[in-house]
Amino acid sequence: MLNIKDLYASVEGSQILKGLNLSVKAGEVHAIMGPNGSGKSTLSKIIAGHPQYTVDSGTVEYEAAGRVVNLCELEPEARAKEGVFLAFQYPVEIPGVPMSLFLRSAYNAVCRHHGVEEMDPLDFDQFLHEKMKVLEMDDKYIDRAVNVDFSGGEKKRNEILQMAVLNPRLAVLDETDSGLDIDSMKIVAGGVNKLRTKKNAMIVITHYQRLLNYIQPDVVHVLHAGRIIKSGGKELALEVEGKGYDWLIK
Amino acid sequence: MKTVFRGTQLYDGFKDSGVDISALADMPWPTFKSEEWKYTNLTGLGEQYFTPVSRFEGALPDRVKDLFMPGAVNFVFVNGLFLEHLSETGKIDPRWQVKTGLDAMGFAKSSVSDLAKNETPVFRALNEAFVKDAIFIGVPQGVKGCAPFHIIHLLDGAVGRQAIFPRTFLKIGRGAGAIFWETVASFDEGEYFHCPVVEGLIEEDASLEYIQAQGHSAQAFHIGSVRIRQERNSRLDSFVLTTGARIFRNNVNVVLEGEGAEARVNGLHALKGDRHADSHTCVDHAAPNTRSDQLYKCILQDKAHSVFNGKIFVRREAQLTNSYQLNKNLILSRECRVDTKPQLEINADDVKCTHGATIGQLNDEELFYLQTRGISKQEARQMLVRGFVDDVLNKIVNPDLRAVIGKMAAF
Ligand SMILES: Nc1ncnc2c1ncn2[C@@H]1O[C@H](COP(=O)(O)OP(=O)(O)OP(=O)(O)O)[C@@H](O)[C@H]1O
Ligand SMILES: [Mg+2]
Repeated sequence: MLNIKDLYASVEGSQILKGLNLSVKAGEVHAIMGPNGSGKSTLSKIIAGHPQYTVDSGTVEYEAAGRVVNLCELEPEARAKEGVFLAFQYPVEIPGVPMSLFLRSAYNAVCRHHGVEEMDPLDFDQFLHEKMKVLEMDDKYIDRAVNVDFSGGEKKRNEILQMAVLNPRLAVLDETDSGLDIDSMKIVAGGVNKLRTKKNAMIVITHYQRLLNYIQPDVVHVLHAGRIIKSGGKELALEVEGKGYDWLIK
Repeated sequence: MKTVFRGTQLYDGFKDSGVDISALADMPWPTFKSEEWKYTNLTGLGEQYFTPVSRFEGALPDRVKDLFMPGAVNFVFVNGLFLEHLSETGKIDPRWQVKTGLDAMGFAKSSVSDLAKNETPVFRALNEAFVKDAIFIGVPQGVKGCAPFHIIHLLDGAVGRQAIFPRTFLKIGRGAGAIFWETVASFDEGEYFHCPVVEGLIEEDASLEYIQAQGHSAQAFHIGSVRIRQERNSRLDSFVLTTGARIFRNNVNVVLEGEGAEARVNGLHALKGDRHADSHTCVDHAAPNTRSDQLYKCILQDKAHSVFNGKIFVRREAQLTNSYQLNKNLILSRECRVDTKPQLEINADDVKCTHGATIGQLNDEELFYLQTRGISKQEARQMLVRGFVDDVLNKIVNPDLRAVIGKMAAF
């Protein structure tokens, strides 16, 4: 589904990703760990298409509807419509834009793209209510402005709500577990697992092995200085948790 | 004093009106050298030829009916003249006093007129000299909860270069409450000079929600004043929306004369093209324990120009005053221009007074966030612009009016 080849990417003139390779197939969950500043969020922004981040060389191939596209050539909204989703490490507050309008606009934009009929506001409210129930989110949030006055943990939960609404094919979760208490993490992981199918894939960026007990990864990667320096099974996460990264960096 | 006429060909068109304008001619014509007119250039207006409106002759566009507000009492004025056959006189609450024409003109000089001392004399004088029709609305003591009163001012530029001097007088009696809403609309791109005066007296314990929606032609000149005098424990919620004009200047002048009076003075400039809008507010805290809140938001696109000047006076006796003022500008192009200026004069020592002004662009991170959810850049921009004005629209108490204003302000 996703094939990143020899990717070099920069932000504000400094190169952060330096020859990154990553291949993710449908049905798989990949975890990415790595020290602070190693380039994990940069990778997620590159996949989502943040205009500040530039690809210097390499490709990000994505298979959508039976054909392979170079993601870098698509606008961020076009990527989203093709099923790419990013749960932000730092979700953005949008004053004055109500959650209900935001979520419905997003959902309907994707519907239009696929030639599916848009959902009317009443049906959408019901649909949204169901998704919120799974994430144990109170209905009061839908009248609030997007992420404004949400606690850190509520913002993270809200990211997964958006994921549930858009039902993406490829989801990148950037430290969704950071800032969640243990009960919230279980709820959020439960929500994520519900969305896991044979047809979609996920990249889960985390610092904590703990999350991976709830969202079981197929592959674990260690990112350091803009490259993947080690890949392995779940046990790699445990090893990193015990020993840190020094033994890998040398 | 002949020199005064230079640059004010405007008066030429007024000479045949039969009104003695010699006093006008002696008044100085404002230039950018005056602090009050630093950012709004009146040279263009001074060189125009307009004739004071005398009667309405044109055919009325059917579209005027689209401006009617269901659930309100709708009154129609065209070029400043009352059109009775289009107005819903039968819907007026029988307890209200509503007068138009000569009956209302008696109020053309009222106790509230004194507030004009803060304004440029020549426009006050023009309105007083050339007002042709007026409306007086009196809400008697204790009467509240009636339908909003909606005055539609249709400006028909097709009639040709008219100068229009409307006048509205509102009196909200003790403990009464009312909602007034004035829509100014022009269906064509005609040139006209609109110089209205609105005066309101809010008596003890009374409340008024006063809303103006100013939708002018791009060629129009508008210089208007709203003057409100507030007695003890009265409350004003005012809101002015404008989409600008060639020159648009609105003065909102409020005096909090009785202890405990509160005024909320809000506004929104939604400007495109070459349009200009200048809001001058002046809140005079003349009694203790008074409160004022001002929020003016401005969105500018293309080569638009927005001016905000917010004066707050706190008199020596006005202890325990609370006064808050904020002007926020969102600029959507590099070519637009914003001038914003607070003016505070505080003579009491135990007061809380804050003010601020910001100028910003759309936030790239917010745009990106929306785009990553599949929302197109264009739709995302619209959502953010709408988001920017959300808080100021929410200051409109009546939800129906809020919805109408929201639509008018859509970018
Ligand atoms: N917009 C930006 N402008 C300048 N530098 C940036 C920007 N974004 C990221 N960087 C730099 O790129 C490097 C990688 O940052 P990135 O956010 O990808 O790290 P990370 O692996 O996600 O770290 P963490 O675990 O702390 O979230 C850092 O040195 C950071 O300072
Ligand atoms: Mg990060």
